[in-house]
Amino acid sequence: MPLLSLQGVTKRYPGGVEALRDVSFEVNEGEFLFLAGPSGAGKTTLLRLLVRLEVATQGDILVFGRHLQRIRESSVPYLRRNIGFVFQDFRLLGDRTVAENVALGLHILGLTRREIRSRVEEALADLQLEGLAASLPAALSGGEQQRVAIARALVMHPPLLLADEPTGNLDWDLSNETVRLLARLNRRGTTVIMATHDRFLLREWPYRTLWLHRGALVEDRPASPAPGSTEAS
Amino acid sequence: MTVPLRSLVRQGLYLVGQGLQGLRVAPGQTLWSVLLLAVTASLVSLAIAFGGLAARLSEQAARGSRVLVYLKDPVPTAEVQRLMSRLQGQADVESVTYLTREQDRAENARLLPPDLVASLPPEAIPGQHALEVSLRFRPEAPEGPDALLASLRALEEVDLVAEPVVGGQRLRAMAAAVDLGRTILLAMAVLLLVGSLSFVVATLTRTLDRRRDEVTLLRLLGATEGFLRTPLMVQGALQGMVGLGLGVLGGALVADGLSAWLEGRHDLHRVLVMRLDLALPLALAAGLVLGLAGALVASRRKEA
Repeated sequence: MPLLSLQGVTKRYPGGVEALRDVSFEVNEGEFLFLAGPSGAGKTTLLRLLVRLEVATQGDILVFGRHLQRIRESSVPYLRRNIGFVFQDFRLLGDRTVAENVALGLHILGLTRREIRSRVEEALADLQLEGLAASLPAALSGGEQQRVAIARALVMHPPLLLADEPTGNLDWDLSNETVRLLARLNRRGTTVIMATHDRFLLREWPYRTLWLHRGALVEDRPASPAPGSTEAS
Repeated sequence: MTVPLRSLVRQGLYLVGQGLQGLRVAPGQTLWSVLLLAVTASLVSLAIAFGGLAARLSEQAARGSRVLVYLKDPVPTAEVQRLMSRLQGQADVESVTYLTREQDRAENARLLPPDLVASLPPEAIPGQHALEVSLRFRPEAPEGPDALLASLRALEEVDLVAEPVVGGQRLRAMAAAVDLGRTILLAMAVLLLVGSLSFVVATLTRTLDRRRDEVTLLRLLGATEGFLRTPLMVQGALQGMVGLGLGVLGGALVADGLSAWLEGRHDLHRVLVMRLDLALPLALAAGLVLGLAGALVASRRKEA
């Protein structure tokens, strides 16, 4: 059974704007998937549908075997606890330290202080941010801020990680570094779906890629080993 | 304690902490709303104390209003009884007692200096048979028993109607003045309450504005609506409870001070009484309800 599945999904906004049109695909557990396409292709809308920040106008979306159209509103938060989300603009809270930003979601789970500290330390170490735990986001570089944002998602131990243009504000080296990081998490078992419009990254990391154009899925390109790269699965 | 219950308690403590932190989001505005609520509660509690005073004054006025209706001599017993039962049926009359000549003389003797009474022959002290009429306090008839007194004076059997005990009318006037003061205080309190409520809502709305990014993130990380709303509710409840609680304590202090001043000047006692054992829990409960309502209004406003 796939981890998530979309069948004939259409999203139409009030006013008639069609952000997605009859999109169907499946993602298996442990996959790394790029959602590619130019701005306005529907990548962000698709990711928002997967965490039920939006509801599809037509079609079926199954995540972890649950129909998002039929799920009760009160169950949505529990579904989201299994999905990590990383934004292009990091969305770090400026008045909180790195450690506090990373710990944000853990309070929802009702963990003890010790458990929270331990998980935060683990995530910071994983992303090589140990020395920055007490820093405020403003004191960090763009790459470090993005790693904090990823740590905030990962600390919840989600089986599925969605990243919406996480490299959009980073230079080439940092973008490459971010995808390397996501690939490492993927090899540990996390399913990753990353939206990007960066063709260089797509060439460098030849994972399965869904091409969207004006809301329609125009190509589902399977993963293939790239010259000089053995990271793609 | 089971593990889910423990984690629920931990969550609760965390959210209370978040609510406390919310108080620091706009400290000036928070302070103002607490202050306004405190002044409102002070005015309400003073108004209640004034109301109590007005009621006591009116009661005292009514109790002090005894009229002596001196009868002509002689009036047949049957006529006296008929008059008594007629008076008993009046709305202003609490009770009617017949006084014999001797009883009236004894009353008069009590009013005179004992030396003088001892030096006089008993017949020298005046005594006339009379009806002692105790007047009933009727809040719905603040003009008092004037009409009744006039009708008594007009009766054929009546020789003289002694004026009500001095102080009855004055006490009534004082009660009316205190009651007016209470109404003014209440009107001010209502105006202030509207102002302080909008201040509380504005403070909470500002907190929500400041927390907007955090709320968006928490929602995405899987926070339930309860988890998101509780800090705001805690913040609102704290504002309401602290404001109204302090206000009642302040009102009690003012009432005590005013009482002490009035008692010293006018030889009165128990002028303004405030039941703190009742007022404080009531204020805290009202503060809780008010704060929660404010939080609800603020979050609805943001959702809209």
